[in-house]
Amino acid sequence: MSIGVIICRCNGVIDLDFDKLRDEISDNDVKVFVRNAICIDKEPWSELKKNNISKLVIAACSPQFHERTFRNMLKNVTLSVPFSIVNLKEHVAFVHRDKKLSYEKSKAMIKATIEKMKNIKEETIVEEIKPNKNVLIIGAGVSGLKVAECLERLGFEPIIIEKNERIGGIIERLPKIYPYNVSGKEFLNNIIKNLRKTKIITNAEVSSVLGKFGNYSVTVIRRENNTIEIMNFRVPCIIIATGIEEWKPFDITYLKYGRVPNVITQLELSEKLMRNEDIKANRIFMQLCVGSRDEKFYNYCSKMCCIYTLENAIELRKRGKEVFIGYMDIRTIWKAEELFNEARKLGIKFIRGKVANVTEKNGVLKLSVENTLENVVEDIEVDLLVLSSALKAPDTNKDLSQILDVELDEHNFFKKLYYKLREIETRKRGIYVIGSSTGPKSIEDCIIEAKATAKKIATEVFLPRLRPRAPSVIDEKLCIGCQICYKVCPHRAIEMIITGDGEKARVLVENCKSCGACVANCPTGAAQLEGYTTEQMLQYIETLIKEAKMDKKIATFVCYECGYAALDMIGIKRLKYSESYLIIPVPCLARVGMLDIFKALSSGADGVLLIGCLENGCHYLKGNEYATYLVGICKDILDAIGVEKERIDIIKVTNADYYKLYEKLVEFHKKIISLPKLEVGK
Amino acid sequence: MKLGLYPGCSLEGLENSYLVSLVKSFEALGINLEEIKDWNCCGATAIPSINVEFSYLLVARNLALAENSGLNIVITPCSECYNRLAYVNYKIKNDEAFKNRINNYLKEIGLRYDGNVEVKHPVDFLVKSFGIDKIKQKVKKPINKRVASYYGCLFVRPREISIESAENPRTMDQIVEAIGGKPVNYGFKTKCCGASIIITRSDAALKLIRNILKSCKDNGAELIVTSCPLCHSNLDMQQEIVVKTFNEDIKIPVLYFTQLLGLSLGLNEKDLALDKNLTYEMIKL
Amino acid sequence: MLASQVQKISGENPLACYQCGNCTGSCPMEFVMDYGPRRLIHLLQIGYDDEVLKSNTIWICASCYNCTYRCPRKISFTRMAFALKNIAMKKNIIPKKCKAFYETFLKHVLNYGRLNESLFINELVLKGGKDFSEIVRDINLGIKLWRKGKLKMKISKIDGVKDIVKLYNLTKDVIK
Repeated sequence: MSIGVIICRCNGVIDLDFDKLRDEISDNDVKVFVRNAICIDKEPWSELKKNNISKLVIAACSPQFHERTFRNMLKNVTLSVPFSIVNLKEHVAFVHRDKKLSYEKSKAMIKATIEKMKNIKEETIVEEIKPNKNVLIIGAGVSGLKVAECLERLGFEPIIIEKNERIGGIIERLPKIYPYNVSGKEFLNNIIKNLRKTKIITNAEVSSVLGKFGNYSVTVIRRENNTIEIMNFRVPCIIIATGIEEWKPFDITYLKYGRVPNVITQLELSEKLMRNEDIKANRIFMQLCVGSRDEKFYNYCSKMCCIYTLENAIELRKRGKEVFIGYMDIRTIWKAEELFNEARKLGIKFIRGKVANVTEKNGVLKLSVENTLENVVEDIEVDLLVLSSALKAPDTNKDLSQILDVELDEHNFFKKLYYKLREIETRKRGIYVIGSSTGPKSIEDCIIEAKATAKKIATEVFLPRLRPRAPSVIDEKLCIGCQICYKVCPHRAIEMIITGDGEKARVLVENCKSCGACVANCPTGAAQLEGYTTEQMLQYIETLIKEAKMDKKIATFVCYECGYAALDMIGIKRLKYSESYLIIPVPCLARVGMLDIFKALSSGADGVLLIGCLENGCHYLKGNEYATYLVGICKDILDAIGVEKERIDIIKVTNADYYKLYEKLVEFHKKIISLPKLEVGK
Repeated sequence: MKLGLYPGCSLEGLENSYLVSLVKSFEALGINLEEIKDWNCCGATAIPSINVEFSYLLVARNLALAENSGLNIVITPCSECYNRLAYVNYKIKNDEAFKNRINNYLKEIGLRYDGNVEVKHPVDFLVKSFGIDKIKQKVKKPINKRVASYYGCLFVRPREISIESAENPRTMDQIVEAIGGKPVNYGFKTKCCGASIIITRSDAALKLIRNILKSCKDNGAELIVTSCPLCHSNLDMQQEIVVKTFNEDIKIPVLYFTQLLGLSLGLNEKDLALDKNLTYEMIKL
Repeated sequence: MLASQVQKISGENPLACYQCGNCTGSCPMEFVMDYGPRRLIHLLQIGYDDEVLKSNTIWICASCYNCTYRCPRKISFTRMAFALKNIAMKKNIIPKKCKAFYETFLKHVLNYGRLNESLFINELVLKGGKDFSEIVRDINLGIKLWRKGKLKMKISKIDGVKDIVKLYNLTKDVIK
């Protein structure tokens, strides 16, 4: 059993004293190969195969660029070994000037990685789900129906749960939908007619959900005519498609909604129009932004009201009515501008202002509204006041989020896992969120998300998947049932079970994303993450700090997401910073524990810097939040034992904002060199 | 629990009848009030117009005095005073930096305020703390009249100090109901009467008064009750001028809610200083 | 810039306003103002500081807080108007009647700690705080009040007048 170390010269970019390096690293178990351009040249890889190595350290460039290349190279020579990459290019060659110190840093990082690899068990893990064909969809609006249609085509048999008697959600009430130019009902019927294997259950609500990705067991309660029916389903995935509701603006009392019959909401008007009811009113005033864009009620723009308000206004104008629209800004996104254009040409009167007073006499409404373009308060007499009220999350979202154990945002909409890359996922694997359940969306957007989700589910469920890292494991013998891991796990991938030996934590393997939060916080060391176990991390840190022969050392914990990428970006831009920064990559800052930080300090580091994702941008949801908290505690401890607390710091960046990180690196280094040498053991 | 009283300048001056009737009718309900010693003017809307910072201190001094004498609740009958006291109190309770700033100034005159006082309007106190049912039990002579309750601005706005909806408040109507009256629903319950500009722009203020009186009258009110000396002085004292200026029959008696409450509790008109109202002669009970 | 000065004094940021006009529509005094509240805020936003300070709007504002209550941006024009009045007064841009009113009011607070209403009105008339026509109009009212015994000639003065003056001196230069 031997460890191979392959070092790439990268056509001279990585320029170290390789002979010396080979001498210092090699021993009985470690074989060193210094080669050039290993991303293109197949030769070195065949050589590795011949040398019969069992583990591999690749010292080359960032895994962002060539991890996949290296994996393929290994596959081509049929060598299946665990490997780890040390970044000598973006993290050393591109960013440092001093040759001697660069050498020390490179050597330390390689040696530490070798130490870590020595007791690594990791094999590549391929997981395969063998699910049944059902998928549960909550909500039979346009998103829910569309995703069912797509899933059917992919071979699934979806089950849709709808809390109301009618299906179709908000769309079903619209007489005409943009840009499809048909009524909402027609549009939905075009989807529904394709559904053959989908089961739609109305008047039903989800009452409990247990299990994990690939195997959720769901209980549904159906209430109808005083009878209650309880149903159980086993599904690999659940899709939240609860959509939106129109807010009833009773709370804006001066608009007299609910007190005067001819003050109605826009969707109430839509329903009348859809039923082809005769609208008796001749003068109609429509007010936009009722409750939306209002700090007192809903501070967001409801996005869709402008469009369906204009559709209704155009329809009424065509029937010969006099229509006024009170607005602040007309937000007809992209091509919907044509609606606004049409409305203008039809002679709909646009008044920039907000109705501030309504008085009613004999069915006639007197509105006073400031025409803000004319600077006059106008009194307008109309027969009907239509309020385009805010679109809000259904109240049932609160209960549902508890049942599903997924998070809501401040407006009770469901929270996406990550706003940039994981838009349809939630913190629990296998629970997806689509359409307007994350906020108001256009029909087009809902359909795109429905399609994307169907495809995502098919790939996740049907295709075997290569796990990037092994899941956490919890040693039942060591677990004391303290529930800390259960509480900190950002993806709710730990369940508490009762055993003969008391309560124990267990990992829901499929839901675990291997961030390491449980490892960092486990008080007994029961929770471990292969590659980042307590022992492996401490070993790595100790070797790294001790091996680097330099004056000042900064242990730099970098998350493999934005932190690592931002550091790479600094390399690509060839910005120079101090060699003192010794890199300790972690999957997420959630993995960094107090032990790791103090290990670094006691091994001889003069400072500790944590680099993670932006606020609210953690790829594992909570990692940077936990780390910030941890840094606070560590600072307090240092303060208490009389060590300068400035030695520990955290920075949260995105790779796009690499310059901020660069400035921080320069500033933090300056601070560390201004401090006296930290005495080991203090 | 000791109940404090902050009467305010107006209740000491022209609108003394509010203070008299408040104290009398509260006594009849078994509530005793203790006046804050050496209280000063709250600043009304005039002092904030001159110097916002100074106006906070005028209020803070009163609150600090109340806290020093162990008064947890301060009843503030004048809506103007209530508005200033309650708002500054709210700010002190919710904004630590503000509190420190104010206390830095107060230190100079040997005072400190920690935010332990609750400022309450008598209407609020009767409805939310004392209890409508208790009032009902004590009514001796029910007032069988259609009564328009006029709340004015400063008791219901801004949001931070309001105990109910500023668009359609109900608390005073609840009291009216409790003493046997019929509340009148009308649109000008919380519309401004122009008290703060009656001196500087009386032309505009008179128009506002006229609108309120007209709305009450149009909706069939026989009486108006108010809970603010400034509103009262506008609706009551200025009524004759308004009637003359606009030449409309919008005469209507205007009482303090405490006067009407006192009457229903069996107190006599003299005790409630009813005769001090300029619209006294119109009252037919 | 006037807008930032207003924010400093009142804590309300005029730049956050998105000009919906709900304030002007709700304002009971709008019909006698040069500019409605919304327009005044707009002038503040674009830096027409002179127009703002010279407008009658801030002096007419009846401090009814209707605009504050309804503002979708949760900013208070009423409090901005207070701040603007502070600034205008410092610069001595103030209508004659208002000047008499505010000066007399302040005098009472600093001399007695309270407002003595009957005396206040007398002084106001002497200082020119009332037009001649208004005095004639109000004379009947005065006689009536006298008869009813509502006018009180006893002056009420608090013990802590010194403290009030001290507080005033501490804060009078906060506004520049």
